[in-house]
Amino acid sequence: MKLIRIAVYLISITFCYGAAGNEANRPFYDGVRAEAAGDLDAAITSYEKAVAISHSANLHGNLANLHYKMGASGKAILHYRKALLLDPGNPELNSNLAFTRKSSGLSSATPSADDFYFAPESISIWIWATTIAFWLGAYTCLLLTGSFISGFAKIAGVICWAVIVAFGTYAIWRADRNIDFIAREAVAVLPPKADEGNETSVIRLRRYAGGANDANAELKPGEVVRIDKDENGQLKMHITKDQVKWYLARSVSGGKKGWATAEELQRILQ
Amino acid sequence: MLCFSAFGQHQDIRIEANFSPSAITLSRQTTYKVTIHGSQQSPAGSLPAIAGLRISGNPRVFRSASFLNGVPSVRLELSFAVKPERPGNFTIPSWNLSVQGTPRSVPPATLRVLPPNQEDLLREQARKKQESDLRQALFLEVNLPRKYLFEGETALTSVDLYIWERLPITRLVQLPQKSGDAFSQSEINRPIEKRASRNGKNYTVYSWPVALTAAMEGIHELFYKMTVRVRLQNNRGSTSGNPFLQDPFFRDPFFGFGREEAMSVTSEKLQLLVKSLPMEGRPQAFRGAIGTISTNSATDAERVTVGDPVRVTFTVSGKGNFGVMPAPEIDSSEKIKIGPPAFSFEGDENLRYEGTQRFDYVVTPLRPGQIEIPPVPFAYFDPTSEQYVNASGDSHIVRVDAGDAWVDPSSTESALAEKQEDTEPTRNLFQTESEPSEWRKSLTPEPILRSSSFWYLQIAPLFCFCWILGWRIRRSNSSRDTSAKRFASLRNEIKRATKSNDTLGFFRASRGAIREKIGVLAGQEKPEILDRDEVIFILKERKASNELISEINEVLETADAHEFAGEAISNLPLVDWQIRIKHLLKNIRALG
Repeated sequence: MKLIRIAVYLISITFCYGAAGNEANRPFYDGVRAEAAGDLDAAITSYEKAVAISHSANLHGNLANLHYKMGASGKAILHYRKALLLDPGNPELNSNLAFTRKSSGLSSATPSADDFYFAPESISIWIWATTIAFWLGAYTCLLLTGSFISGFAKIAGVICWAVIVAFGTYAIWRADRNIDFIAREAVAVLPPKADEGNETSVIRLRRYAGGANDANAELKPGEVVRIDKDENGQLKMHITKDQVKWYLARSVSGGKKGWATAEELQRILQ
Repeated sequence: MLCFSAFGQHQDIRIEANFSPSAITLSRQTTYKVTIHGSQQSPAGSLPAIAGLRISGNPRVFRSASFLNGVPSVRLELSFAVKPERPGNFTIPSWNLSVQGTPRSVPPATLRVLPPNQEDLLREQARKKQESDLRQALFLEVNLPRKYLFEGETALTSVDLYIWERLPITRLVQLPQKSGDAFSQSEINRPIEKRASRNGKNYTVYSWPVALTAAMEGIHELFYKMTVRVRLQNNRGSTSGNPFLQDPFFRDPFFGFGREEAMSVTSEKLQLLVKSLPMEGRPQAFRGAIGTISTNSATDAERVTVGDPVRVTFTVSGKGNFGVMPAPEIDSSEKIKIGPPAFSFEGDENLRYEGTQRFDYVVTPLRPGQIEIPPVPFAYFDPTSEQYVNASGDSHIVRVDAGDAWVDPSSTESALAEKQEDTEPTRNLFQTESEPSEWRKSLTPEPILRSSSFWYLQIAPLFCFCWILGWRIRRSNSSRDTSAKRFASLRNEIKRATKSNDTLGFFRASRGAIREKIGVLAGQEKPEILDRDEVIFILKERKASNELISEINEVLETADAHEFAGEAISNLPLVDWQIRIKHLLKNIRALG
């Protein structure tokens, strides 16, 4: 009975994933056709319909390209980041993102260990590697306990094992921390009104959650910020009376801090 | 019947009159029939008297109604019995009849009365008329615009089914089927219904328009065939018999006891000439378009930025083989990239004979500057003039701006030299992916640590680990127990030997007890196999004192001497030896 339940569960999961992909195919291809016909607005609308259903690297890549061509560099960078989350090694997406950042006047990000070795998508590799190392070491210790290997060799082996497992645990923690960062990361995007023909527009980080106060700092479209956490570990936000959602964000380097609306700061994992 | 009557009110009223049969001998009787189509109401009027004919003043009245392909029709028939009084030709002139309150004219009808000896002549005439009627009652016609076609040419033809209005067709079983493999045709759909008159007969005509395309040159046969269902009267040729059954009600195929039969109808077999297209004067741009055609070419923008698409629309209008017309091709160049065209047709989608065919090309400029989009190459063959016509579109000049975001690779060589990371040409950036790649439900990478299945999976190695650990502990304990038992036994043996003054037994047990203790110390499962040197080595390894080592060595030597030489080296009494051995064993245990 339990086996049947598991089988039904697995089949339903497979079908759900497949169905979501199939549903999103149609608006995706509509978007490709509209883009080929030169109707970029219709293409963006179609791609956004597909995004509402499911995600794929090429979908976000195409959407980012269109936003760039329409002059919305913030949204372009946002979608390149989303596409790279799904396909981190894609050279075209990386080139496009680098070009867009540069053309938007943003400094090119220097890749660090967090972008590669401890990247969010590497957490599964680290978990499996550490688990395997842990169990291999534990079994080896158990089997060699009564052997005639010298005590020094045994101690050295145990130390090596402990170091490997400790490093694996550290890597898991760091990748998990990067997942948390990604969950809090947002890209500064010009709201639709400001987008129209105003290339020099910036996004203001206000002192308080509300429209009519001075800006602490300003962000360029496409600049990446990290939303603060509250005491419960949730994203620090405030909803005003007019139902506008505000986030308290600071730039990744920590140099800029302030409140901006959810429309201005679009989260990467949203 | 009420339903038919209601429909009949909206039908055109038409009156027919005839003699049935129209030629008889003097001894025979005939019927003068007046048929009113479109009404079932009893008419009012008086039949004119004709000298030489005795016409019954009490006609039989017969009402009928029918459906043909869903269209209702009603009629009323008045049958007057007529008996001639002399030979000759008699004509009942046109006379007036009031139908539904409106005066209507009954057409004249003529009866030929022959002398009684000319019966055979009449029979022969009746047979010929029957054959002719059958041929003219139902036939199929194929109407072609010309006696010949060109290979690949599409001609609009019509397949017409003529049904004599007196033929009681109930339904069309099968649509016209083409016979002739040298021709392809459009789909045959719903027919157009019309009325026609031919050879004095009224017909209902069903006409199917067909776009016929000649596929092979030569003389080829073409004809159409179809099947209809006819309702026939049941009492075939029974002139005698029950007079009750001679009533028109029972003789009428719709309301009488008629039966349905399928009737096949075939058109005339046409021998159609299909000519090949002339090779002379064939333009390079000709790709098979045949017809009477005009073309036009337009773009949707005259000024764009590099990478922005320009749509070039090439339209072909008129009459021709749009169903088989291939798309003209424009080649890409270094300056422009041209994708395959999108098709759309405005007109009858089934026939695709007359209308406008659009070819939309998406042209992407790759370089800034004045760029010429080449003309769309197109030529067609006009079957009327039997000549090729070159109808290529116009070329278009488009001004292409570099754009703010786009960098012309040719003009930025110096900039590229300065920054090595920009080696990728910008025209290779922002390319559209036409396939969506792998779909994912969420962007968030889910660590497997948070999935319960991962932790369930750890149960297997943990269980194995615990099992192996338990097995090893149990085995170790079991070994230790055996050693303790052996040691206890040896200690008892020492006590017994001391009491009974058994020197050999005492030293044998003492040596065994020392080996046992040393064996436990070294983890040796079989301590009885340890010789004196190995015992000393283990003690040295365990950093035992020289005094202890020499004492143990002495005990072992004494034991070996008793065992192998059979002599006593020491003069100590066994009780003192027992105390000394006890002390030594305690010291050995202290080494662990």
